[in-house]
Amino acid sequence: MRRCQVLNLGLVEYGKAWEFQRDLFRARSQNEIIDTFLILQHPPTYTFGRCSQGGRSILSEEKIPLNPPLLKGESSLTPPFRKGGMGGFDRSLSGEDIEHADIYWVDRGGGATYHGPGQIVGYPIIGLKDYTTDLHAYLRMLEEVMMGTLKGFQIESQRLKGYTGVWVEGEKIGSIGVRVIRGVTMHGFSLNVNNDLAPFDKIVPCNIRGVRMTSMSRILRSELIMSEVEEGVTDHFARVFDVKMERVSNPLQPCLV
Amino acid sequence: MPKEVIMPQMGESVVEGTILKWLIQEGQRVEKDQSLVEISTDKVDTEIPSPVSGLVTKILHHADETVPVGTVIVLIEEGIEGVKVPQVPETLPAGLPPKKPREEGVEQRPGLEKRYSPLVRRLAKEYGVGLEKGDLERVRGTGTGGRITKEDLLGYIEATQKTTLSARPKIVETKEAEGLKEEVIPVSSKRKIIAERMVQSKRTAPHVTSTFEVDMGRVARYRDANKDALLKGQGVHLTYLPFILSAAASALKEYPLLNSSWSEDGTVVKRYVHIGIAVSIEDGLIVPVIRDADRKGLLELAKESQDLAKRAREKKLKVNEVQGGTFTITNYGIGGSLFGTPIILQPQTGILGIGAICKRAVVIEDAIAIRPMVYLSLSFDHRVIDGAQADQFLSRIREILEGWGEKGEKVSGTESGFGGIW
Repeated sequence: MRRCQVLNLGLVEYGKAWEFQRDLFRARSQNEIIDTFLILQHPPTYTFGRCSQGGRSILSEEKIPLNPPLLKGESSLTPPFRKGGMGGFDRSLSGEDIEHADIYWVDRGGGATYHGPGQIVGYPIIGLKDYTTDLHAYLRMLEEVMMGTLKGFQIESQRLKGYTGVWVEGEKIGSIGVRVIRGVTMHGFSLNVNNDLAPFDKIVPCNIRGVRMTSMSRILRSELIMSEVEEGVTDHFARVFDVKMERVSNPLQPCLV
Repeated sequence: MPKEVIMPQMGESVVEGTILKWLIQEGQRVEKDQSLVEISTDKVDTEIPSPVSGLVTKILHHADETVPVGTVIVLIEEGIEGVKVPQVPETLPAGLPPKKPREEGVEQRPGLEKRYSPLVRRLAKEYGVGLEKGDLERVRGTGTGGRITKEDLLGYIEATQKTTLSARPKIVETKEAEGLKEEVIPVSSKRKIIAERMVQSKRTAPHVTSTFEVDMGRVARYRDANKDALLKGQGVHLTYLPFILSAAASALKEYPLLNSSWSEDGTVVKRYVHIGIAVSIEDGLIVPVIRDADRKGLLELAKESQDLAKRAREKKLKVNEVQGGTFTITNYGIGGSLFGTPIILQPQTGILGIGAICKRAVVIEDAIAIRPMVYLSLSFDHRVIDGAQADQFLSRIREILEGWGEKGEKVSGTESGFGGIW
């Protein structure tokens, strides 16, 4: 059975985690490390993927021209294109709750999303060819990881054809956005557990206008213990990808091949 | 036979992919497995590696296009050594010796001073990106050998300027007493960019505006004779704009200095004519570009300008459609203005403003006649040319327009069937 190391990083600032991902991605690409699954949470952060339509996500009500006139609109790949605080978002992203959110344009598929404490984020840095060569099948596998986890907490979730992600009665609970280069993956999925859902209202999550987000705590009407859900995610990752998970005690020293 | 690289079948249910960004350019040599292009499908971004080593001969689909799986997107001639295509062809000043072949890797070696193209150096200077401060070191080069291209630098400038903007303190509230009668409207980022560009243009280029009056009688007659058939047959509204576009394109070919850019290394004369048309949109202005306008007939110009203007208003322009202009036309006559003094879109040399076309009493051979007249105003960069050249250029435009149809002007064999002189 294949091995996959699990690194539970706790709460990590998005940019730091992104940099760490890139390091691991490089190492995995050169076969210096084995498959790695990062599990973590982010402080309040908005990220914008390079969604297929026009390459940029849309903020709600389209108040912000993300593709300014007369200027080259591309900047997302020069990492990390970071804007602190409210930079550039003076109109739409107002409101105290967002005052402290970080904003990143990211090199992953998909549209805009929000990350915050209480949401489980999973970043598999794996050699995909050992599992599938079908990129969409990979998306389905990540959905299955989240759906299995939810089932463990008595939440029935569904796929919605044409809308990648995990849904509960028409409301979105899990989102996906990945990057696959030369068969190695990065970025991944996020599952709403206890996190505040209000910040999603400020964006058009995943380019789906009018989408309603939900969370495990909203559905179950009680806060969950994060470590239990993390456990569930890890177990179901092992099941779906048929790997043996090896927990790394010191996450900053990933084990070598 | 060049190797055809196709949009790959990335999964059973994947039927199409969107091109996000080309990582190579035509004329560049690529190694096997080198990443050619970033693509996206659903929630996955990925890259296509080159199947062979060779020379990129043709890129068939641009960034932002979505194409079905199996579509050929780039051609690579296997095994051929790279022909040195100028990195930024449009910026090669006329008459300058061709660039020396690049010494690969030199730029990457630590300790050695990095080399930048004259264009990059000039742009860096213009925007205050310091060579000595090491700002340029932070720009990520996407050109061959990590070389910094114009686009890289502009992207960097955009990014850093935005950051600087956001770091500024918020507008201070006006005093309470006045505050009741005043309102602070926060400036959108689009507005900020326009403001910066306008100030920068006025600061960089000494503007002079010259105005000619043109009798549009012949053009009007021609237009009246053809517009209904065109609308019915092709769905194209034949306005006055394509006539002026066509005349300007011809005149630009004859007076290439108007189709150039000032640079420290010399005046960069462009041998292609890409005319931008200023389109007013909500809270701003955007200038989509008609490429190779000099090679297009009236019908094509009409179609393209109509399409670009429409998509500009719908915010559906692609990034590459607002870049690369060599000259601009602005049609403020739409709003009733008779003539104006437009601001040049840097780094171009000229901008032509079209006033409202009005019937006026004019004196022709000592008789008074009623003619549809228009004021055409050219703002030009006085560093590049003087009034004499500007007026020759305007004279030529007037000549073409006033003689429209006379000598079968703008006959284009490809568009026969419309009044016989298309």
